[in-house]
Amino acid sequence: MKSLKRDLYNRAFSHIYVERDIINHPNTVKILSRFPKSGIIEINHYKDVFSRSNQSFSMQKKSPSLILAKKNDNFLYKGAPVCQDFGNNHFYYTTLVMNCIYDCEYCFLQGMYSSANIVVFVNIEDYFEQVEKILQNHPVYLCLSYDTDLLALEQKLGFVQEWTSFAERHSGLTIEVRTKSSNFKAIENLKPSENVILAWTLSPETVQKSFEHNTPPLRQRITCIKKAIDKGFRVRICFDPIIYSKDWLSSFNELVDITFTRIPADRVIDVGLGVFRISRDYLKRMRKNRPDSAITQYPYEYDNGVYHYGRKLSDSIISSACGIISKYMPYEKIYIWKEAEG
Amino acid sequence: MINIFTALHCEAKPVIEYFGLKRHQDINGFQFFSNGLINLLITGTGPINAAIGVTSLCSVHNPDSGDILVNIGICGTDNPDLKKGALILCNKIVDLSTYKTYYPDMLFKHSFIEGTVTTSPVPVINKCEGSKAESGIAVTDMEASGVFHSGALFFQPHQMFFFKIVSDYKTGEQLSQEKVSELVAVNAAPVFNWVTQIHNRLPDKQDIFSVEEKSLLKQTSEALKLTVSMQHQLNQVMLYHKVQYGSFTIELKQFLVENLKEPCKSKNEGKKYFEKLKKRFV
Repeated sequence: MKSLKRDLYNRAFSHIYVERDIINHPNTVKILSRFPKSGIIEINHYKDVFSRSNQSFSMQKKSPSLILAKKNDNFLYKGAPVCQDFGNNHFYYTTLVMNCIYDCEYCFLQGMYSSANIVVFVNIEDYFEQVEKILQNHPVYLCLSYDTDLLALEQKLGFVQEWTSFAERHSGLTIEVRTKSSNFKAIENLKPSENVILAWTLSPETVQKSFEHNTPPLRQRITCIKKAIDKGFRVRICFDPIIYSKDWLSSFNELVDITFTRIPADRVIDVGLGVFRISRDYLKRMRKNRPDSAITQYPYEYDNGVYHYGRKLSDSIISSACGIISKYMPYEKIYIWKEAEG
Repeated sequence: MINIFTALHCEAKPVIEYFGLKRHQDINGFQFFSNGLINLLITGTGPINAAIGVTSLCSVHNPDSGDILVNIGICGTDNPDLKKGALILCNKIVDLSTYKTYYPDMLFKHSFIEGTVTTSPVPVINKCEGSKAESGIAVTDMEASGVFHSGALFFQPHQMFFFKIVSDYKTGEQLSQEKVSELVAVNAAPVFNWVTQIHNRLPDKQDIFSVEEKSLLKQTSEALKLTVSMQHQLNQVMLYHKVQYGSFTIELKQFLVENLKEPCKSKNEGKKYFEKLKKRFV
């Protein structure tokens, strides 16, 4: 299959669409220099490409293009109820990049966006300015990598480095970079800081192999986490989303054992835990995009706009998972995603 | 199906000969040729004619996810580096009347030159007033934006390909029909070998359930006296089972034999068995 793909499809980012207005922006120039063989196509606005009607997310995933654009507003968003806030009052997330180089069958991005192409907003200085304004009023807890995997793109974009430097200069700011990457090289030159959290999502090997396409294997991620901890980074581990199958419990047990045998639990700041859940509109699109996926086609229960495994099953999964993790981590360090009340 | 659109008969002629297409009469107002696998329609010149032509064909022969649209024809250019007969695969289409831009997806590997085509409703001689300079390889035609605009109603952006063959340098030079056919003929093999290769690999839309599966699902929902909403749930449960384990027919037949020798007498009884069924198949 791999050779068929090589024959037919262009490599990822063979084409880069660049908004005319930012063609000379320093980040555009820097990013383009890292793709010397790619064809450049000038565009007026990223939505002319990204938001075209009737695109095939699954076909574009086979050869995604890069779109370099300028973000003009909405630099920060208040955290949505479906996001974990890890006990932080002023919880925000930001969209520096839309879409991800990985291809996870459960990912909400394939339900949220009509395109699998990756949009990078190069005007990072405008984000910084907005954060500084909010910091004048209160501290900010900011998730940088919700709609993408920023660390997986670090060697091409260098955004994590820019944000960690920015965080270092702003003590009221805490940033979280969530990732599945195992590329330690991307962070080995970064300076660990108290207000930077690297959060790794881990899934059982069976889930990674079957559903998290193009992602690094579990053991490589764990090796990378260990190196990050040894270097002094604050690390969070996210077992989220847990995907149900008949043998989920034994796979999850094995995952937690492998993780905390290799990684000293007392050096992990906390653990996030959540069961797969997805909004109705997203699942509808995901089922269309991936008709042959056991994750999209599971007969979920529905209430309040969200599809889930059903209260009874979800509670039982969380309770069992929590019990397994608690062998290594105290309960107060386990953050469980719960639906917003009302 | 590969659906080919050209503006002129002299552009179509080499393609008709290449595929051995025969004239058909089923598209009113247009010359239409087909061999059952390849359709070719001559739209006439200009983006409006092109859009009408695409709509006419696609409304009669409704395309599927495995089908392809090809627009092939001659174009002009200001670029002296492009020789007559040079073939351009367009990654951007600009409509000169509206300045609207269209972008076909560029997912497939190829060895063609890529460039931008600007579509004008009238022949362009020298620089056209109001036209914006496009960077890189740029050519001008009279149909691409119309073909895309209409094609996007029937095809996804990765299913549409726009090939332009340089025929003139916008000097007003008159080309003979034979010369146009010659320019297209030279490029027919590389274009259609590539397009056919992609067409052979594009997956056709498939029904979720086979005829046998649909019939078994109907039989099950009747036996269980399911409501419409529960029928949807049954379909989803069985689709999940099929995706996960490859098939559900043998197991479902077995379930019916074991549990439902006779159809349920009431919806309540059906509900009980439906819960049992869900537990077994999820």
